[in-house]
Amino acid sequence: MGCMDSGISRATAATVLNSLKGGVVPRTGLEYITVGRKNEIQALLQDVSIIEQGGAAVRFIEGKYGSGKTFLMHALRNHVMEKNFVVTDVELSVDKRLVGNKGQGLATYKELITNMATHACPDNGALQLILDKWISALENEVVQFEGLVPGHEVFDVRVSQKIYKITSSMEERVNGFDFGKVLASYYKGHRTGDVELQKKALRWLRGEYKTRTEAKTDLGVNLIISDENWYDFVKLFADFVVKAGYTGLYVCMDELATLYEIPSRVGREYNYNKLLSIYNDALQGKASHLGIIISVTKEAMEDSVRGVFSFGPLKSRLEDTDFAGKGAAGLRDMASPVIKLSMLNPGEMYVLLEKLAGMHGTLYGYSPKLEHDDYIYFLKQQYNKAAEGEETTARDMIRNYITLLNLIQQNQEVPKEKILYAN
Amino acid sequence: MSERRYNISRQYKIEKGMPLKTLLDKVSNLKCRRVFESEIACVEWCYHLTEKDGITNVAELMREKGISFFEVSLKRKVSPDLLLEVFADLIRRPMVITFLCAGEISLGTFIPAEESVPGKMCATDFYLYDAERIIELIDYEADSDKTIEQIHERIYMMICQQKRVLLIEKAFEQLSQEKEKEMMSFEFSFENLDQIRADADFVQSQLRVV
Repeated sequence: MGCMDSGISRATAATVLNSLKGGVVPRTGLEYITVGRKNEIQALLQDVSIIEQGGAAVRFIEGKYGSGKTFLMHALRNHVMEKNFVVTDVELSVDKRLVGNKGQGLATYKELITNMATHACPDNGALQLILDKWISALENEVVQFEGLVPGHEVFDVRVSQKIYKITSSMEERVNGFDFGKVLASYYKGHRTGDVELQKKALRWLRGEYKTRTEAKTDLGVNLIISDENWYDFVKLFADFVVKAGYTGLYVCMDELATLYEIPSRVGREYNYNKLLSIYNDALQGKASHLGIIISVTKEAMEDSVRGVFSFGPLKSRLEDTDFAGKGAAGLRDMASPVIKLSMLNPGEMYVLLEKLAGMHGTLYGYSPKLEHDDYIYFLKQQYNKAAEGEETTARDMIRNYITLLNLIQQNQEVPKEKILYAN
Repeated sequence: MSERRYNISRQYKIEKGMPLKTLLDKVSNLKCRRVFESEIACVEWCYHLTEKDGITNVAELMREKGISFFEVSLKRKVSPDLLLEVFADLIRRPMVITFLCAGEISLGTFIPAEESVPGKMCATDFYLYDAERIIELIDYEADSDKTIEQIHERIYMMICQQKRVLLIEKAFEQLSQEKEKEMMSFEFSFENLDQIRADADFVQSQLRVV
């Protein structure tokens, strides 16, 4: 077999196999099992490079249930996190939309802030760490380049000057004045040891203030983060994290199909309109250092009555052009804002099975016994199930396969054929 | 007891549940009765539309000719055609029935004819009930000056039309599912395995951050 030596650690192999066995996308190690997605990954990495250079990008990953949309999003999430991005994700749902009359837009924002993660804090909740890292980096600059030490009478003044230089540079952005003021309050709390003030600033940044009066009293700002303005703050965060020493902000939104399921037309259109603003901002340069990747099913995207394409302005922007739509010479335009995921073909599944067997061997310290004919037998069996009308996705096939690997490894005295052909 | 909230004085809200056992005992076909007994949760007479204004009690209302609106909740989906057929035979008066089951809805209507003639009936298949697919049975503005027969005829046409739309949708869904099945068919070739492996290795190297 021609696969390169993966070099995967046992811990990562365990995470990957256990997650896949449980039917969920692993948080780590995705690069070892990414098969058949070369063009898609290259397109998305191209976006990453644009974001690194100060641009913004929005991509839709369109595919059937179980086609690997979430997988691809997580693979990119992990990659950019390693590249010093701040990453965050949200799974849209009935109570988390882009806009809603019961605060569903704000709920999405809160989730995004809660789920912020960085290389040093990969499991969410990184907001405070980002702020603290920002302050300590500026303090270090003062120590290194100005020769001042903490406690020196001018030290705080110099750090404050740097902080205010950054916060005031954000004032020209929409809502940037208040955002900068809250960041400054957080620093003030840090400098004076006022933990309560820091907590208030964090509460405000998390969108937890319910009234302007409360925000005015606590932090002296006349604005709160709400359903209407939350996306402005995502853009501000993208801007800020770069000033705090990160490469950019990468946002993953899963299950856009939630919007398709909103029963009222008006509700859907409000949400599609917000989606349009997000898309336009990225393309028109109104956002910087910001990447947004959104997963959506084909039906939720293309349904002309309820889907994204029911909203004319989005349809005209996202629909395939004549060339791409008709699949000119079987080619796909990977620069299109919508990346359409096809199901893995049998050859790709075959290579994935090889990789998983290798990973299983690494985890349990044995040489997997499965050979070419076994893979073919297994795949034929799985594809036949699908052909007979059973709901079978790549996810189901992988779960079955890992069970098979477990059984063979746990019962080495039993001939593998007996286990493989038992079903 | 006139409901009036829809600005039609002749529509009466009833909310009267049916004594299910008595009703079902009258189903002549034994197998059919067993199906109904086990699958119907409740039957409710919800509205009655008559030509007469100012009726004050149910007894008087029941004597009035008009269209009865029933709601039938089901434990499991049973053929709406069969359900309608049996209810029409039991109740033998102009009616519209809404069958509800697991978030889905089916609409049926029956217009009786004279003795020895079967009458007209039509029922849609079950479909997901949401705001997009609501069909308004009563068009309050248009119906206010129509006779009961005219209103019933219009409802009948509307349900037939809905039935047709659903039939086409289901046939189309079936077609798409068959296409998907074809796409999942097993076509295996050794030729590109090495290329797939090489691409996967390339992706692995791209995604790794050293």
